Amino acid sequence: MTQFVVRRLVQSIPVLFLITLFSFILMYSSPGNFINPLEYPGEMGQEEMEMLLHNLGLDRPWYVQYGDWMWKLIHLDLGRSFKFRQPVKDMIAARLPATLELTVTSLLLALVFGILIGVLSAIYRGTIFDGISRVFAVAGHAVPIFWLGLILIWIFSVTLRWLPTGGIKSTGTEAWDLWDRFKHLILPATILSFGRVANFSRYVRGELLEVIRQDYIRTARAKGLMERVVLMRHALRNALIPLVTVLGMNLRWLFGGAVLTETIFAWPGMGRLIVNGAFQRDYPVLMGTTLFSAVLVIVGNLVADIAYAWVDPRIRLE
Amino acid sequence: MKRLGLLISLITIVSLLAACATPTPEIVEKVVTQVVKETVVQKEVVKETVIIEGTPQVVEKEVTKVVEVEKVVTPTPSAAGGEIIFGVTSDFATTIPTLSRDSTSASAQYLMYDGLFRIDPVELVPIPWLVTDWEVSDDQLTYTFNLRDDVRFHDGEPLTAEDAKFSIEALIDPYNSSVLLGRLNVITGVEVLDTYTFQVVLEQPYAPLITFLANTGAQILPKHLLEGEDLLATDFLNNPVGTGPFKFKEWAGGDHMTLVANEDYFLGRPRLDSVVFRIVPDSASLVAALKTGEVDISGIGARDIPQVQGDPHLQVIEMPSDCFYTIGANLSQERFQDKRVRQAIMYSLPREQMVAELLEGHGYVTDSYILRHSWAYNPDTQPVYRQNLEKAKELLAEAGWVDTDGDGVVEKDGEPFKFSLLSYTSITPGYNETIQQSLKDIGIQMDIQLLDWPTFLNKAFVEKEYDSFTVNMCVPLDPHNPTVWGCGTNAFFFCSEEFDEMGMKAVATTDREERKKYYFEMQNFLAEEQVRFLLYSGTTIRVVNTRVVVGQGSPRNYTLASFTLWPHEWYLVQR
Repeated sequence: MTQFVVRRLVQSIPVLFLITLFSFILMYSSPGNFINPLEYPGEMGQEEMEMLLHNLGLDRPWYVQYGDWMWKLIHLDLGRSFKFRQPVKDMIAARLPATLELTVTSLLLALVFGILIGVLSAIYRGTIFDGISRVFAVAGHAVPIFWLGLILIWIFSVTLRWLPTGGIKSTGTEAWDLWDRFKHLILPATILSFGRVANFSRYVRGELLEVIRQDYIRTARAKGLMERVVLMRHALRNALIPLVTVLGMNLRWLFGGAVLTETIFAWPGMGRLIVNGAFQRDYPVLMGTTLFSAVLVIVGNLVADIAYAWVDPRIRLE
Repeated sequence: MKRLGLLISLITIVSLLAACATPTPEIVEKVVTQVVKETVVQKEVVKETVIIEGTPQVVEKEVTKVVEVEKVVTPTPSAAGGEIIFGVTSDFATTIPTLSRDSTSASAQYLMYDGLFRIDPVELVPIPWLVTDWEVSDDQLTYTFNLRDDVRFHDGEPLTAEDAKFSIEALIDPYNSSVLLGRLNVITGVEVLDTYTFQVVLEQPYAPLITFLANTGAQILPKHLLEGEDLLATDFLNNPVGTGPFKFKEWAGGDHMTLVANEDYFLGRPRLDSVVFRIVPDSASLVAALKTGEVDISGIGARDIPQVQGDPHLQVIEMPSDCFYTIGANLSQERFQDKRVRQAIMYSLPREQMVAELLEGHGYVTDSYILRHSWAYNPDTQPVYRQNLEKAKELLAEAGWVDTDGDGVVEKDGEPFKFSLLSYTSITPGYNETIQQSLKDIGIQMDIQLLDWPTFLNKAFVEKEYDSFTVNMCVPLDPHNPTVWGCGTNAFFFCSEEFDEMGMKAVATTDREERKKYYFEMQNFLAEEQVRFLLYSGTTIRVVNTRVVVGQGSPRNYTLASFTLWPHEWYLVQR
């Protein structure tokens, strides 16, 4: 197993290198540049513009800029954001916990409800409940997040005043005021989970139906075990295996955040950082987050493979 | 099925409610008073004729009446304290004034720092702030400033002339590429004469010096903390120290920034305890936050006015903005070099209609390139362009553009008049199309090239590759604007020695009336030449919660913090 892990990690280094190189070239060749006459378009004189570009190192050829970035990377420095002039490392670190709070919660919610709906749909296959829950799950996936988010904000925040309109916590409250955190978290996490509930419930339903028809389930029933035990102990466990792979692939999403939700709910997360960086051509931020994402995808796949092998004794790691 | 149906109807109803709009918003400026109904018990003495024992007698009776009376009261401030929350849509780019380029950052800096001068929000003229008095030499090249001696930075160190020198030098240092660099590089040197006295030497007489020193970007930095630091890479960014009424407390990146009252502020402790800036990127969420009171003050777009208008807790303040919608034509192209062609284009545009429909009335048409609330504005700028399609076609014909083949597009020497307009995706919807249609009506075919904002900026202002571009151009208060109009520095290949000369003469004298003469001439010049088409100006709209008293709106509204009361005077009201 250790051999496997080590081999995979070593293999991933050239992959990462190629990813960063490719991203850099892509960014460099795309139109637009970071100049920042944000509020006064056309107000920046030629001299000021050139000096700004020079300060940011943007007047050098692309391979020089890339080399410089790699050099900094070796020293574990991701550079400074063009717009904010803060170290990219710090910016990512500041926003990561907020993103994780949101995405992990919504993932858990999606798992719980996905599995629940999937199992019930499989058990009551063909009934109205099955039909409704499947439609509902797909609708949740299809509905645009920003529309649903705004509707829910309108209902729960503006009209009923039960929940705040956004943010991660109320100003002035302590970070460990759990009730306050919960109130802020519940809407965005729920909305974010809708898309995944559809996916997970479909997976679970499909797998469960598949598994229930297996011979060993018939054996378990023939042994006289209660239906509930048959389902929970034998069928479900096996049905959940593919979910492990799905979770592994979701790892990057966990960290990348969900931009739309973060925007609607003013959640200070990674998603906004990445998208704003892209809109403003803030290359250090983009390179830093791309690298971060790439690392996570690789790690995520690795973890998924290992977990898969661990869970299913039929799989052998090569 | 029932549950699903109910859910669908609920969602439909709510979305309809959310989309409801009230008709025709007006410009509302509410004065900070309240009308209160009070019940008053009035006792009146009434004479009545009563018959007692057969004889009429006049008797006095007391009658009590309960009357409802309306009184106008100014809300009494609560005891000092409390917090105001601003809502902004983007994160702060920097906490250092010298490097500031956006209004969000400027808003926070306005509260944390002080400048040598400040622009008075009502009179719109610079007033001495950290400076007590100053002298100008006879040749107008040397200014000697005296500073106050009672100002301290938030860390206790006193503010001295050294800090002033340091800050001004940072502004004119090309390395920092400050927005004010092009406007203050007439300064050749700053000399410290005394602890609280310093001198600024110019290379030529320059009238707008004081106005630009009153800009938020020119506020004073602490030399003892920043000397030798690279402003572009310093940790000071995360721990800014100024002299302003509010001190930096914390900045949670992407979420909020908290400032607390500066107990030792030189104009007295602010009445508020703290000010918070919350970052709410989505405009609909921002409106929701205003309604629930999670945000007290914010700027909104004209489209959101109906949502907040009816709310008794919110006050809508509308002010002239600092921006114009303009179209710049590439003057290096021959077809645009004929003045008649440019005038024809102007005559084809239905500007009043555009303001009424695209901005829903929240704007005004202007023919002058100078802001309407500026002292240099010429209300009689000639010529005035109202939509006149016939005149437009006439002018085009005079210039040699006629539709010879009847295809609806005019030609000259076999070349049809076709060009493209560079525009960006976040511009007012319908704007580009209206222009396109208007030009079509006079025989010019214009197609629209839409780009996202940074790509647009790059193409228009860096690469300068376009036939024409349109942008909502924002200008600073002082009419001196060489970057936009000057030969060689502007973005649309305009070069007029005459115009530049007038501009230089206008800043060479400090006599405002004389400057006015030049600016009036310049406005007529540009109106005649139409080198850059000025369509109209939008208005800036702010929403203020009624529990907060910040005064009235000010046309000097670049930052969210610009109101008629100074920040240290803001207070909360008892509800």
